[in-house]
Amino acid sequence: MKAIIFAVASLAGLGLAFGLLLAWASKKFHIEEDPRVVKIKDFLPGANCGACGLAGCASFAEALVENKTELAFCVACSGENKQKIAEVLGISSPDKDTQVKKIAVIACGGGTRCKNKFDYQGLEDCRSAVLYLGGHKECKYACVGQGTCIRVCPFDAIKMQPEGVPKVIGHKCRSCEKCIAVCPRNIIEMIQPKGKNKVYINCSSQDKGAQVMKNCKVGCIACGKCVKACPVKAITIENNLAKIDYAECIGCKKCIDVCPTKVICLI
Amino acid sequence: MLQTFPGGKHIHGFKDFSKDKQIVSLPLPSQVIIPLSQHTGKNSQLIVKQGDKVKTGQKIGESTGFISSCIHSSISGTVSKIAEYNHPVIGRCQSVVVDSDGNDELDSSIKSRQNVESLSNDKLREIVKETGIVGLGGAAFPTHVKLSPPKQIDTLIINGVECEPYLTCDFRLMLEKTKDILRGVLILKKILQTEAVYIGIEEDKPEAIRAMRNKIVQMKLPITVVPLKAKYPQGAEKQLIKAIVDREVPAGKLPLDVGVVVSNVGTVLAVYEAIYDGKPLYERVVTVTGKIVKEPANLRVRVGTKFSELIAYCGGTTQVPAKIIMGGPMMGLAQCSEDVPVIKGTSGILIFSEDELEKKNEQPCIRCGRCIDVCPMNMLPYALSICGENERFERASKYTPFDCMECGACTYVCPAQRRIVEYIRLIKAVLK
Repeated sequence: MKAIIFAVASLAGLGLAFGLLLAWASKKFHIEEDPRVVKIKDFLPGANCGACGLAGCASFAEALVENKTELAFCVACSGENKQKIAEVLGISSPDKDTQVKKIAVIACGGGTRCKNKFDYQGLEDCRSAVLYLGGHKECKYACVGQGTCIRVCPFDAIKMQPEGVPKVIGHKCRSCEKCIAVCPRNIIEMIQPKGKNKVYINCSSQDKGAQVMKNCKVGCIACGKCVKACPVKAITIENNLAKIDYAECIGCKKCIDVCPTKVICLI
Repeated sequence: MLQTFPGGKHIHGFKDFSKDKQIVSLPLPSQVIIPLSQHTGKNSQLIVKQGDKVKTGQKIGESTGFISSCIHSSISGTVSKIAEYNHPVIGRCQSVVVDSDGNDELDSSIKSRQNVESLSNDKLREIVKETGIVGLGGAAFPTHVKLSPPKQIDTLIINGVECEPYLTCDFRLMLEKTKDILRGVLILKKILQTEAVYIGIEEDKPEAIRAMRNKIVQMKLPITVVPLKAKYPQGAEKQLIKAIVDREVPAGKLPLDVGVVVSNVGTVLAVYEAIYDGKPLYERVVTVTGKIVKEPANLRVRVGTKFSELIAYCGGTTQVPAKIIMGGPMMGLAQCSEDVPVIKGTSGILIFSEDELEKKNEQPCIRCGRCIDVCPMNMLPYALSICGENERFERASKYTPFDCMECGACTYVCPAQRRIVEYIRLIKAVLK
């Protein structure tokens, strides 16, 4: 019994002594942190995507307070939060441009609907897949579907579709462009649609129509129906591929209705 | 003790399938597909158009830069199409399709030369360039570039190693064309003005060593045959230089930085034929082999012949092929179709059945260090594989990934069956 009391008492004593020591140390060595940094950190997305060019959200917040960077460099932060950060900093909210959000789109809907040249058995990485005979898809513009963009997205905004091609979930995308940097096919692009209905061309093939038809069921064959259907002349055909001018597009969805291969999609 | 390089691994040769088969010419194909990219460097520029009549050996692609090469028609006939076609290395490539007229009529520019001795070195280089000769070992580096070194070279090494398992085309050439190869060596020696000339041959090809040595004694030539230890990758340029003259080529440098030029026996023979017979490089020897090939063979094939024709000539296969590889099993490239043309760099066509293929069951690295023992470039392949697996590319750059020549020795010995070379290729692609 004596031993137990002794053990409990000595441990409690040690605990008390160290507790007091720590309490004293935290007072003595206290570093004054700018309260604005703490507040700004709360408004930043916290994914440490690095799109601002700094190590992460914490260092971006510090840099903001020290006036070493600009709020506009954060592409991942929503407009609303930017407003709040601007209030904390006592500056005006960044320019209107960033109000319309940029969204990444993966311009290929091929996957299982695009023919394979061979069965790819290498590493599960798109950058590896394109090294072998230029990729295993018949279409040289097609997504190779190994999901490298999904793995680099810090916001979990890209999901693999059942067809074997990834798709960006529009409202989750924070425009950090990390996926663009890793895509070996260069088929991910940033678009800036204004309206509620955000349409995009889900194909990157610059092959001629007949070739596209041979390779893929959902490729742009440059038939030009969308060009005619568009009431605001926002669509043009360049290099056998339809292109939307987002400064003009009103999101009326008429192009979606006329497209024979269902290449034009909603985000 | 035989000369060799540190690292490497002896691999069973599997050369018995085709090593005793004499080189035979494949019957003239009815159609050839000649890609405009068959060499390291810039693509050739097309100088014929659809509907043109071409003759065997007529130039159809012009070299477009310093590191580039000419391309010639390999049969006589009509250019029926110029289109994108399957390519064994890059997948798709702009190609010239020539339909044969069956006459195999030689171009008028092809004439044999009598006065070879009197030709100047510049003229010889010019001929090598115009005949479109590239290294026939596999990488297809334009030979005229190798023969124009910016500084004095003191050693010429002829590569007769053929360390890739299965392949026997160089071996057969050394037996059958010994004299021509040696005369080709003399031409290279004259152009490069080197003192020392060595021919490196692995010890497991004693017939080739004997044939070469006998001929050299007979012709009284100042050439040394060096028997080398049979070890993979002895035939790699830098390893061959290390083994024969004990010089190390620094990272990122070329053999000529240490005063050496290395050339394959097939290339040397092509140079001989170009200089003496005026013949452009429009055919080469290809080994068609594998356990399931009915009659493995060493074939003299026109560039642009489809793989399917070679395989059919060898009697086809006893089982359904599971993998067709261009080149050897270590560094060759698996093909997705038999409808692919032979190019200048095609040294062999290797066919595997389903049960010969090993199912890879990749496990985590156990740091046993076997890959380090075999790496001929003294790298740390395991570290690169781990960096590649975890996408730590910046860290991988510390382990000199660009020294790797992708010989595959590390992947071959890995007990955890890791795809080390694939990881290194990924790292290189990302860091490039």
